[in-house]
Amino acid sequence: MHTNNAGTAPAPVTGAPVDSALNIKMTAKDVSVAYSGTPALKKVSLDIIENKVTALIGPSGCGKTTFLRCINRMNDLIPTCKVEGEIKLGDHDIYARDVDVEVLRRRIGMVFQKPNPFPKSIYDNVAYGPRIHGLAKTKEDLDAIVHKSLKRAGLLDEVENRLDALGTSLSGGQQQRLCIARAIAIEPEVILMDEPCSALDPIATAKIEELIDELKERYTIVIVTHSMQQAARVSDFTAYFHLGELVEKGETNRIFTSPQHAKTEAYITGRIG
Amino acid sequence: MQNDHIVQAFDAELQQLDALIASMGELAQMQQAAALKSFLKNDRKEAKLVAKADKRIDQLEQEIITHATQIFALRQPMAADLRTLVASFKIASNLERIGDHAKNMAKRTKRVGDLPILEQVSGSLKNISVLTEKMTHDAVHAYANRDTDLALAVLKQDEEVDQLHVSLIREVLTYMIEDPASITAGTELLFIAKNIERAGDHATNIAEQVYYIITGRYIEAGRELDGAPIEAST
Repeated sequence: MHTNNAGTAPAPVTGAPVDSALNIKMTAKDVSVAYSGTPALKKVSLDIIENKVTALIGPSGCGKTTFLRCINRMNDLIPTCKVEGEIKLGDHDIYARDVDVEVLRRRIGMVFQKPNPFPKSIYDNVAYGPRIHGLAKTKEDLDAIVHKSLKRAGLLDEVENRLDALGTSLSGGQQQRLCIARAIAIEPEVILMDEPCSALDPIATAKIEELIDELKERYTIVIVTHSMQQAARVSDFTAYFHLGELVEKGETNRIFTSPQHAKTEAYITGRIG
Repeated sequence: MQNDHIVQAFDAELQQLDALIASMGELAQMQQAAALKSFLKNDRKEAKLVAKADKRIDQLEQEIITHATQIFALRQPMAADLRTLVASFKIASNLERIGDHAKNMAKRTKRVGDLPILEQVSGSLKNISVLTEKMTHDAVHAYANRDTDLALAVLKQDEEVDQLHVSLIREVLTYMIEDPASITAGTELLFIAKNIERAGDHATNIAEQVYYIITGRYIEAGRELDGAPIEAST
């Protein structure tokens, strides 16, 4: 999150210069989005750092979810949505004509606001992705993937003896961890999370936050959250959006203690919403 | 910025915090003035009042800590609010120490008594004490008005206090060397001079906290901790 682009007013970058040891996983450059001609995102440029958690915050309608959905081309599903600018995963433009969106979404997984397990068994929920992508050659391979994914999602101990039970029979927090297990079963590089804890109680939220901290060792995570305390707790970098613009980006601890932009300050101290 | 939270109760809580710090600051400054007066006039009654009033300062420190802790728990403050809350603990603790130094000074009133040495150095003692009172006043006002310039002025004044302190020590030592009978009173005076100088240090600490609240950056010995030059009028 340290590059600015010519031609736009760059968002102030707060915090120390990004460590040279940090790798940029994804780069968004001048990304603009409009729904039926109404702009929702205006020339947003943001780097996503590998194996770090980047939080996108801002009031409702600020464009943070729109931006998140651009990262794995979820907005393609909305016919009236027009996306401009460039988003790269590594060196590859994810909006290039030859990009297979299915393959892209294998590399960039997503966890949604409400847990949405398939009406299938816990096992099948996790095995679904590896099956359709042909990641397991044998039943043993698939078992291993399911176990590994459930374990990484911190759910294995709770469901090991009832893998045949319906995913929807689990509690809300367990369902969300099941969705995370399902997302990581196909070994993505980036995981997008759209308010993953908004439907969960504080204990389930704490478990997901703990999990996010563990997952970032293997994956790059981008999270949209309405809870500033959550953004402050789980993320390494924070980007603040307001009315479709990226107002400020920087190291999380700096953003929440000494933001440089008055709009960021007003939002995180509870003065605009 | 203090008065426009969406949750108005949060505004009221922060205003209450400011009011408590203002009261404590005013009381600490009054204690400094009263301690000097009691000492210079050898007024033991006044000295006792100073010692007694120190309890109210201690009580105000507790009130500020309790109130600030409650705000932390209820509001999870961020940015300038967070810095204000964090700084309020330190400001309260520094004001409490200023109160302690005033109390210590008053306590020594009876020990020094009506000795000639006191008359000889009273001018210097008064100068340094009045200056540190002003520093307390300015530091607390810098907090109330979020005034970087005034906070930085306090840092400047501390340099002057340090110089006055050194020259006061020399002056007292000279009298002690000239007249060994004044050694006991002189020693008390050295302690008192130290109390006054320390009060100036605490006012300086408060000014540094005010700078932090306003800018988000720490300052020490006239420079920001990362070596950057200090910034006036933010």
